Amino acid sequence: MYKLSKQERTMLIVIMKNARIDYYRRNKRFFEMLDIDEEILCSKENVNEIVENKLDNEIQVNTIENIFSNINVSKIVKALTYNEKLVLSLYYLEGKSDEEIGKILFMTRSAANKKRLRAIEKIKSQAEKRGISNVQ
Amino acid sequence: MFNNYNLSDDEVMEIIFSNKKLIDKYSRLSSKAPIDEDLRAEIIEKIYRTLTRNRER
Repeated sequence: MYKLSKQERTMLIVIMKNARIDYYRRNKRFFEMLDIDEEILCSKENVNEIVENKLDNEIQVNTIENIFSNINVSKIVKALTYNEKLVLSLYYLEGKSDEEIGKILFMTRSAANKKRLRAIEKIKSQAEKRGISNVQ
Repeated sequence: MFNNYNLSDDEVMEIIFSNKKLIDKYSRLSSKAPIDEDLRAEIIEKIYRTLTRNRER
């Protein structure tokens, strides 16, 4: 039986790592085309279901943008990132808990909670900047 | 390193099978993802090509 030396084993690992990088780069366009993160695509869940969820999420974000039609407030909402809008919309409009939001957005409960609180802080600071006082 | 010109096909396959766990580890695109069979095949092919590159013709 051929026994690998330590150097040869390291070389094998380098070959495997490079093969993995090449494979990912070659299929990168496919991942980007679907606009799905690498990790989500490789999960055991159904890809169609994930794409459907993504479309639902976009509707949610548009809803929160439409609600704040006031010019000043809409500017504040537009300053938020896509995920922040989504978290706020799911929490306040849909009444979902942090845990449920975490499941929808593939993050932990605490990450969803942090994202929501950060979005609120952002709204408050933007409101102060624009001189809107009654932001609750 | 792998400058052995006498590695037969069987020996190369033996090396591949003895490092099956390592190959499986690198056949995942991320730590949580399941094994990607296409990537696994590609890794095995690359190892085979590398180990037989110096073989005397």
